[in-house]
Amino acid sequence: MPQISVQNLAKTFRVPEREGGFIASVRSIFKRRHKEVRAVDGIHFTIDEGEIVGFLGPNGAGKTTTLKILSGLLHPTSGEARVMGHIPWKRESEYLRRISMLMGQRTQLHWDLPAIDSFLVHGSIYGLPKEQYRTTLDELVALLDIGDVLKKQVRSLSLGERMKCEICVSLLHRPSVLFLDEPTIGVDIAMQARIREFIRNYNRQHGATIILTSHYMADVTALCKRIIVIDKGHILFDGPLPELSRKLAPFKVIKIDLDRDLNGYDLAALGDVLVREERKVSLRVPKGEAASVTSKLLTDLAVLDLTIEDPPIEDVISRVFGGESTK
Amino acid sequence: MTRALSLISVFVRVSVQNFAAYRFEFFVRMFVSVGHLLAELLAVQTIFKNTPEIRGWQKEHMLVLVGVFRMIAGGIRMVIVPNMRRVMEDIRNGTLDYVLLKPLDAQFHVSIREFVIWRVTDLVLGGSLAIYGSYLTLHTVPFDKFILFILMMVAAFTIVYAIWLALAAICFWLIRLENIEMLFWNVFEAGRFPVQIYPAWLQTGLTYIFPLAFIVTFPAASLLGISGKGITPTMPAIAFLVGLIAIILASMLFRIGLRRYAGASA
Repeated sequence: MPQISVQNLAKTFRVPEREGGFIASVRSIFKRRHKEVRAVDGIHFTIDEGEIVGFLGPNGAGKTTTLKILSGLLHPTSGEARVMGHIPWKRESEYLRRISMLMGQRTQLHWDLPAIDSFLVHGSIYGLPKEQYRTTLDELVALLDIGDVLKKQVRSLSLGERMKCEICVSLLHRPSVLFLDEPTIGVDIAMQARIREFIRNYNRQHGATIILTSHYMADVTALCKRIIVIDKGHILFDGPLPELSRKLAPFKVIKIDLDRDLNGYDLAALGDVLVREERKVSLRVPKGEAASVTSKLLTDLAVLDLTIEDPPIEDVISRVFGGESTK
Repeated sequence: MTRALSLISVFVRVSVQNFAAYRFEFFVRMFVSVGHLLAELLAVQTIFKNTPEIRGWQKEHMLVLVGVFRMIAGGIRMVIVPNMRRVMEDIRNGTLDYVLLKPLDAQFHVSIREFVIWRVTDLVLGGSLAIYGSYLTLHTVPFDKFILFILMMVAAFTIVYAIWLALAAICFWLIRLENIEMLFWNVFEAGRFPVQIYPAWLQTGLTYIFPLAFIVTFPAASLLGISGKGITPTMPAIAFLVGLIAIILASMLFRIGLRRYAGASA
């Protein structure tokens, strides 16, 4: 039985709308117009225990809304969701004890207090026995290497240090399901890598199920075997990472090594030229034309070696979200 | 219940630790607190140089009122304001999410997170002054009146808490309402004087609409004995009833606000 199951989930927000200009502004005081925005529009998926799943999508795609519904912060407009058998938005104490949500852009630590005080309060709210609190804290502090910042006021910490403390506080009650919304936002590359490593270890050691959203492809490619791509509230893709390029990419990359120089051969007529050296060429062509272009290249040129590849995942994602989806 | 108390004690402990880090600030604040109280006493002194009493309130009685006013104002600033201010900020910034993620009743949680410890000085100074005024009037502080006073103060704080909770809850609808606190403080200032000095219509308003009478005047009167200060033997029961109604209404408003925040009301 899956640990998380989502069926036909939808969330519509009602947002006020008005046109620009003075008269429109005055009119909006008396009569407000609203627009319905479907942030999540009938999505389905299931996630098994211990999986790490990456949510990808541009801003406003519905990633955070989905996470908020699953963590019980938002009521969906329609549809069903179960996490560990619970309906999240009922916010049962037993459920909330077993999950955690980390929002990279918002702090849950008290700004004026040392992080250790926020940890203590967290431990009391979850009613953690002293022994368990101590052991978990020691373990997390060692793993995250934050021993020397615990007693500093949170406002004086660097972004990276603060983020590690945020992760620590989110995990003190050893949640079985973790919702991570942009956990590495704003921190430098070295720190991103360490946070990633930590998340992977936590998943291995505790068998925790993790849903992660990130703007950094590296987070997703390093951690998640499975990707769910969301755009405009719909799921565009759900499957293993390598398949993402195959399925979503509307194009292929053909690389050829040549025996002779090109001598002015018109490559641009066949596709986008990515690399053009004397005897090395790389072309991007629409998926459907890959076979015909390949055969033309083999006929016209003295080809030594030819490979047809899927484009890099970053390219696929940016093309898909740039409105060039072939959905 | 035990869990609630132990949680409150954890939050108080953290606030004490935080406060201990700013000892110098504590002395400055205490100095300011004493200064405020002296200024208030000077005002009382000046008024009663010209008249022996105002609507049945003599100088000694006014000392009790000034003391109670200070206790209530101090208590509000010690527990209620810091917590309600924080919940309003949380609503504005979206950080209320973290409160809702906790396995704890949201209203209870947002009401106990912060304590401004040094405001204890207001409670001690105000309390001492009130007791002193009562002693000057009655030449003793009768035990039954003292208990009555404590009960009236509990009811007063319940009413004040309910008002603030309602103000905070309004932020669920009017997110950018910055100065809503001033609404309270401006009316609360009227509590520096007994409600009896105001015209009848205003007295009614200050008793049943914005129940300032139950917040300052009646607790003060209860420490002075029940004759002639608008307090009857049934007053504590009425005060508790007012408190109960206020807290139920405010909690309902807060809950409806929370549902709106979660988008469950649509």
